Amino acid sequence: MPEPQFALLRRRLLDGGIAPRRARRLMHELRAHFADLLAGQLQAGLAGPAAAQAALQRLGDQEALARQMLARPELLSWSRRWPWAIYALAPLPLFPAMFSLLLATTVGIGWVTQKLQLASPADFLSLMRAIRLFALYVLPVMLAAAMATLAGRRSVAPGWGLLSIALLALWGATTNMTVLPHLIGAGVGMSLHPRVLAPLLLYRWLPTVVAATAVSTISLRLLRAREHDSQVTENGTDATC
Amino acid sequence: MSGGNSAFMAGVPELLILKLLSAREMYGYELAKAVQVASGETLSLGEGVLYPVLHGLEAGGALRARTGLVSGRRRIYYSLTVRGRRRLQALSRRWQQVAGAVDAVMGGAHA
Repeated sequence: MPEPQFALLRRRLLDGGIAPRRARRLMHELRAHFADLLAGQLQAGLAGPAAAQAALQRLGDQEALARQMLARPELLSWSRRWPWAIYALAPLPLFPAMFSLLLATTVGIGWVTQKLQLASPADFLSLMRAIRLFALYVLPVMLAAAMATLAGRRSVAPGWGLLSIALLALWGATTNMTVLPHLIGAGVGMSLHPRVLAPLLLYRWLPTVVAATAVSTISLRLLRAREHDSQVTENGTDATC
Repeated sequence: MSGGNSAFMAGVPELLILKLLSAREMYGYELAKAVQVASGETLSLGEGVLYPVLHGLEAGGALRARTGLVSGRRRIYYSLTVRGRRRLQALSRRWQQVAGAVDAVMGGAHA
């Protein structure tokens, strides 16, 4: 027996800012509710298609349901309710936290590697330099792209995602890490002198912004394509019932 | 909810849901049926009202949700929390005031 499709309702709820976890749960509840209504109609003596039709009618208007859900601010996701906290404040501790974690891991690996003599000093130095490149150039792009992708998925105003990218790129641009044979150091610094600021913005901040925007745009397209495919599969399966 | 959607009736679905859930935990369909049965088929909560109210009450801490299995199908059961009981008491008092006031007016009109 075909079940009604709630993909459009789900999309409408997510676009309106309903928390994904809540939208998923509601879809599940509606499917179960429909199954119960259908069982009731079949028990009442209606034949399959007529029972399904009657159950659908009893289930009611999906648009009205969406309007009622969206009218309740408490059902909206954190991203939609407090975008400034998620996209403007959260990036401030996010990058230092991840960078510190990476730095601690690097020091830990260095200590174990040297203690157990697992690698030659040259190999160790190469590894540390690879980690340094990752921390300074890849990590900011990854975090910024993740925040912008989240903003896109939660359908918040694009400005919030871009603000996140700009802030995380600034953290990345103003952070430095030094790896020497017996020393690993890290620090944050910025000068407003044009001679320092201009190259910092041009060679570190701007490439991070461009890369993170590109990665998040591609990620969003891939995620939407996957969502679309799963809807088509769901509808195709439904049509064959 | 049958009988219109006026602001006057705005708190009624919430009151009915809290009242029925104060007796025992239920899932959405079960609750919709319980409203019909308890009201002698006079009231029915449409899904467009039922689920937004359930989710709203749960988000506000008045209800607790848990997953259970019934006939092989996963159901979301709702039950009242302490906050929900307090809300029910407040809504019941308000409803009794409104009902008493309406009764008084109707009594006056009939006299």
